[in-house]
Order: sequence, then structure tokens, then C-alpha cells
Amino acid sequence: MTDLLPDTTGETALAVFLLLLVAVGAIPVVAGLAQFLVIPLHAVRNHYRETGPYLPNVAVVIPAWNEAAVLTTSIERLMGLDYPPDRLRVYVVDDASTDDTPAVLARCAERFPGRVVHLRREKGGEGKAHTLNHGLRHILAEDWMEALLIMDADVIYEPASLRKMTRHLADPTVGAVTAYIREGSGDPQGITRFIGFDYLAAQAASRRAQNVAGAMACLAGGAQLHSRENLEAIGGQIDTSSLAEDTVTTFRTQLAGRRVVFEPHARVLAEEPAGIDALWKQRLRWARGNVQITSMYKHLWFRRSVHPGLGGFFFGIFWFAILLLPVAMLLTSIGLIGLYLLDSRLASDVFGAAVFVPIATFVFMITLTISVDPRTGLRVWREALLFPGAISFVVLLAAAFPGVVPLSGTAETFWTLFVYSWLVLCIPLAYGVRKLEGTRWGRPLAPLALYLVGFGPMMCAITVDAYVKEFRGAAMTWDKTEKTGRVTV
Amino acid sequence: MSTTHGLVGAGQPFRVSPPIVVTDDLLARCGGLPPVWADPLALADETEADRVRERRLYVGLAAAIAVVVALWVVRSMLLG
Repeated sequence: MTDLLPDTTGETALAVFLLLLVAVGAIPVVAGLAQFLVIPLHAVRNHYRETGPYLPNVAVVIPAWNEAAVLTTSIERLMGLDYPPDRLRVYVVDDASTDDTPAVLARCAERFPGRVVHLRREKGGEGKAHTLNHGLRHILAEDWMEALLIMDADVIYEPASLRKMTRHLADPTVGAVTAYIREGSGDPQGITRFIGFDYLAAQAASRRAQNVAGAMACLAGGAQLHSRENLEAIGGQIDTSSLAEDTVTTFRTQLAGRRVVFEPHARVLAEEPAGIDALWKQRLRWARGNVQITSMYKHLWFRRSVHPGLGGFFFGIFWFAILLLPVAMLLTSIGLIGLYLLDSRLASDVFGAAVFVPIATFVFMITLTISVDPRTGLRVWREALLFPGAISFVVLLAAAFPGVVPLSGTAETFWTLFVYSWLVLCIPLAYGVRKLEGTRWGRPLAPLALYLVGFGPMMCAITVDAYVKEFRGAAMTWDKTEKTGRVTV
Repeated sequence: MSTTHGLVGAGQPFRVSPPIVVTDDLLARCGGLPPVWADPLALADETEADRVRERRLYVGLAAAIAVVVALWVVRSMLLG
């Protein structure tokens, strides 16, 4: 491709503008690298020296709607926790279940008298936050509870996990503690292996960085422990106005002047969606919630005067790098294609000079992520490499080692334009993978398509879907993930 | 961790819970061995072990840097 525009000031201005677009794409990469460079600091900058042997009365609240398949196991595991039995009670808030949940709970209450409480809502279907609030009203009305653990019906706690969380509450400046949630399928396949790596990166790795930075983005919905003082300070209720009630609780806790701590050695196993459509609905709810949070807390971003952690530059960049990642990818793609049409050599030079940075960042991030939990990491290392998709992996390899496959003429032009546009093309293709799973003939091909297109692009596609649904004011439905009891310890 | 400036509870004494009384019944339910949570020193040891375990992050950092450097070297060699 030769230069298409005459060499003018306008051309220079256009080239600078396109270079700026390409540079926008570097922001999420740099933000990701900065976040991962901070993680090792958790070895020295953590909360362990401020803990104490604190074993409060813990009320565990489990919102449940048609969870008969998983409740017995979860309650048995809770009863078997390495924690003083007389200081642990389980409150299951039954959201008007229509399956065997009431019968299962009756049997559990009989087996563990005084330690399992069944709270039933006669009118259900309003979502998790409403269900939790029903339980909170009941629990806060009594003086017994000193700390409250919010969990999901399908999660399973390792025996020492609760006391590893409560030790942080000895420090009166800590309002809430969250644990490390892992994908818990005994034999993860396809999408659950991707989720396994995703949780490793987003929880075990990323939350350590948030500990260091002193600002937590979100308490895990299935493992959040609050002090009674904190719950009362934030109003004693969970937010019902958004789809991200966990994040709102996390922000409120910190804005009310208390710390939120991630405890990486308190491990919790959770059942995650095994199908693309189920995963899409779950993550769409999370992504829409994050879009709503961005608007709800617009007074907070990049304002340290509001909160030194949440309003800090580091946290703001981290938040928006994820939220605006699809936009950054689109702008980078436009920038590269524009530069190619303007001056193919300049585009090639820019791409060649810059491409090693995202490749090195990617390799650095997955190596560090696997190292934080090698047992899980070594099970999902293939999905780590293929997180951006097999096609992106080949594109990255070809970009890292240009000339290994010699191309010339039209083939080179097509290949170059494909590479520059793949950044954004993968997003609609990820949407196509979801649609493929919905067809009878395509269902068997969907896992293969997911590996080709990638889990990362699928998350970007879900974020785009969240923008669209929020812009259109789509109904905020609570699509419950079907639980089958696949989690094994 | 984050700055303590403006934190609710800063300067207040740490929260404590009543000591655990290990009764014969409790001991029997725990298989004859006193549970970790009944011994504050054992709990402190557990926390110290977790704190020290975090030093493994340095190994992860070293591994990550080594992999990136190796990739750079291979790339440089292949590209001449």
C-alpha cells in the first residue's frame, strides 16, 4: 500500500490523531501491567500484622431460590467449618422456592438444632438483594450477631476459611473481608476452565493489588464478611437499585470510612456456568451493574478528596480500563487501519515497535497469575494462553516474530488489515459464538468457536451488550444461574 | 494497606472475643484433639504462616520477568 494522501500539514495532523487513537489502546495494557507489578508488594504490604485471634458470633446468610440440589452440601460444609460451633448460625432466606428447598431446610434444621434457621419469603422473584434484606432485617433485630457472612447457596468454604476472614475484623478499622473464590468443578471443561483462569486473575491476583492500593472494587458476592458496626453504618440493607449490589456495598463500606480486605488464604469453591448463554447472562448482569456504578459514583472518580483509595488515580485507571476496554480496542483498530491507509510504512513501524509491549504484558500477567495459585494455574494454563482466543494467539505470535511467514503483495495487505482489524472484529464474533450455542447444529461447535475467538473478547462483547442495554433502559432482570451441585472439594 | 487517615475505628482497641473453654464434650466432638481455634497461639501461628507464604509472590515475579526476558531473547535471535 502506498501513500494515499499528499504530504501536507493536514496529513501530519491526521497521522498524529491516528497515533493518538493507537495510544488509547495502550492505556488498558499499561493499567493492567501496573496492576500486576503491584501484586508482589502484597508480600510486605498486607493486613496480617493488624489481625488478631477474633472469633465473633457469625450469622451466615444464604439467599436461596430453588437451591435444593446444593443446599445440603453447603450447610453440611458450613457446620463442619473449623470454627466454634456455638458461634456460627446459618440463616437460609428462602425466596419463595417452588422446589424441595423447604423440605431440605427442614431436614437440616432438624440435624443441626438451633444452628440452621429457615426464613421464608412468601413473595419471591425480586432478586438477591431483596432476599438478603429479608434476612438482614431478621438478624439485625437480634443482638447475637457480631459479624455477618453473605454467601451463595452453591459455594463451599474450606474448613479454615471463616476464621481466616474473621481475624481481620479484630482491627476496628476493617468493615468487611472477602475471600478467594475459585471455580469449583471437580472436572472443569471448556468454559469452566476459562472461568477458572478468569477467577485466578480477577480474584487471587487482582484483589491482592487492590489490597496494596487500599481500595477494593468488589466484595465477592459469595464470600463477604461484614462487622455488625459496618452493616449498621451502611444502613443495614443491601442496595436494590442496581444490578451490582455487592459493589455498592463495597463502595459504601469504604466511603463510610472502613477498610475492605481481601484474604487470599480463605478459599471458597463456587459452581460457575457451564454454558455460554448462562455465562453471558451472569456476566451481563455484572457488567451492567458496573456501568450503573460508574454513573452512581460519578462524583468519586479521580478525586482523592472524596476517598483516598477509590478516588485515586490508580483505582480510576484500573476501573475505566476494564469498563472502556472495547472502546479502546475499537479506537486502536481505527488508528492502525487509518495509519495503514495513510502511510503503510508508518503503520508498520508503529505496530512493530509497540507490539512487543502487549505481548510481554500478556506473558507477564499470565505467568504471575499462575504463580499465585500454582495448583489451579497448572490446571488451566492452556486457557490462560488462549484467553484472547486461538486466532488472537496466532496474530500475536505472527506480530512478535514478523517475517517468519513471508508474505508479499496482496496477501500481505490482507493479512495486515486482518491483524489491525481483528482487535475489534473478535467482539462481534464472540457474540456470534453465543448465538451459535443457541442453535441445534451449532451447539457442539460452540466450545471450539469459544477457543478460537477467546474468552477475553467474549467479556468485551458482554460489556458492549451492557452499554447497549443500559442505553436502551432495558429491564433489570435477575437471571439466576442454574446450580447442579458440581462443586467438589 | 491503605492510609489510616480518616478511618473509622482508628486508634480504638482491637476487637476481642471471649476465650474458648475446651470442655470434655467439645474435645470429644473434635476427635480428642483441641481445635486450632481454641488456642490463640495456634491462630497467631497460622496467621504468621500465611503472612510468610505471601513471600512466594517474589518467586512469581521472578518467574514472570524470566519468561518475558526469555521471550525477548528468542525474538531478538530469530529476528537477527
